[in-house]
Amino acid sequence: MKIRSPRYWRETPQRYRLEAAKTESGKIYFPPRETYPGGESAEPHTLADTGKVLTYTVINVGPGEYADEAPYALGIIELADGARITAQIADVDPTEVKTGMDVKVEFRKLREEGDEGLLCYGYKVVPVW
Amino acid sequence: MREVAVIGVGLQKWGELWEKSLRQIYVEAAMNAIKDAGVDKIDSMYIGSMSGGLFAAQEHLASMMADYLGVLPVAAARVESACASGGLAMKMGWMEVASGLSDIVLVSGVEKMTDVDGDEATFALSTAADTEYEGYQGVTFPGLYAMMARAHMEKYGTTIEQLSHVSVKNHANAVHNPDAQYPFEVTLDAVLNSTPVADPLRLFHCSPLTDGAAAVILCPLDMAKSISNRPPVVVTGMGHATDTIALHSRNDFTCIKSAEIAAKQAYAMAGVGPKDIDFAEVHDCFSIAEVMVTEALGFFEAGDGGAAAERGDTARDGSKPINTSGGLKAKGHPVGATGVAQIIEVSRQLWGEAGGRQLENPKRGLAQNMGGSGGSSLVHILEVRS
Repeated sequence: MKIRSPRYWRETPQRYRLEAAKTESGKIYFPPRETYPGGESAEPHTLADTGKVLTYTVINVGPGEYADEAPYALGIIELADGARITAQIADVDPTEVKTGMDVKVEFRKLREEGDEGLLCYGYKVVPVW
Repeated sequence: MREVAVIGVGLQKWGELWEKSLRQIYVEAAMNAIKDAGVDKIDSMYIGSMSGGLFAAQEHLASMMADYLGVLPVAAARVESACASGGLAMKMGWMEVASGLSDIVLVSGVEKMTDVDGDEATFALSTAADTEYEGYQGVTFPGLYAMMARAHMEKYGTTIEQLSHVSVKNHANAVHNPDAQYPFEVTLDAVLNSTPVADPLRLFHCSPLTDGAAAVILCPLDMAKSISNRPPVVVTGMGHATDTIALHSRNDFTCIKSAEIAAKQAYAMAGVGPKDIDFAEVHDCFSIAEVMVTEALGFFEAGDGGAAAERGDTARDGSKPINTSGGLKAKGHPVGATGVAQIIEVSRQLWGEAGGRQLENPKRGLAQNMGGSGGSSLVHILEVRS
């Protein structure tokens, strides 16, 4: 399915610059929300750019425009500030990915979309050896 | 509130039904349920469907299905909660009859999944996750459950052999279900050596793409006695809960909290506990899901679900038979129809109409249906009254 440009650029602060929000009690929400559970208020926060792999998989059958990318490793990453994201784990043989592996967040091209080949950017993580 | 009974059920043999359209499979199942119940009218209808739009380029199923079923101008609503859409339709129908708003309600579900190719179907299903923050990164549903499986394995020592036993057991049950998509046995070796899909899950740990519909007729218990000769099957418990849309937002990837909460609500309403449930149909979209759900329902301790499957506890002759229909794995998983088909299997078991897979005199069954990676769950408890 084609992403129209507003739907794409609306998310760029999060995808390009990891813009998030941190509530009074210290919980991080990514992306920022309109309202926070418990009526807490929140301040802008930039996600940490290092973290660890909590769990992962190797996708052998990709969805839609990722179909030709498979196999690729993908995991849930706990960042150094406690926030969690889902991201592809790049620059590594997927069979070498391990739980607990140290990773850093990098700005990468994720895919080309639609007949026009709209370039979609965002974050992936890569191992820190 | 009025007590609500199931008085008729209908579906068809599920599978890749190339020659039948979305509306045809829907009407076939609905007509089967209406005939089975022996009613000459319905007052209202609910249709569970995840994505008529992405799978078959058709929305507005309320109008289309009421029209093609020939019941205009009856009130109809399509309800959606991803893979729990059928369970949600059941809740809505139950509420409508219990409240007194309607007497005879058709609860149904449908999905036509083979009008698009595999890539498109995978994409359509992935929209049950967070499109912008999971789907955009290349997540698939097998991938999400694979990450839960890995977490469960690393925390509890669950093995791939244990997960494979779930698939073997569900296929063994489907052999006796003439409506099942895959009514044949598979060996443990076949499961363990099937095509990798999302490590550690392989093809035979995943439910298939299926065309199919399912329908049940509900009415007040008082009325059921005059319409039906069957012993009434009564909805005695219902629970419904949500959880985060993105898997990564949860504290623990090894449990399905929405199912746990929905089950607690249903048990409280029915005044029973896990040990009082004779059998259950649960949402085994992936074999790890059956393991985690049987734990969430309180049938087994957290971490023991895989071992329970390996021990045979969940087989038809085990202490807690799970998915006698063959489950999503072998009966098929036409997403919106699944939750309704679970109600059908529980009803058939309670009526003693489950053929070669019939359990010995069950009195109380449970159906658990969930959406996405567990972002929504519904639990219904059904009991047969003598």
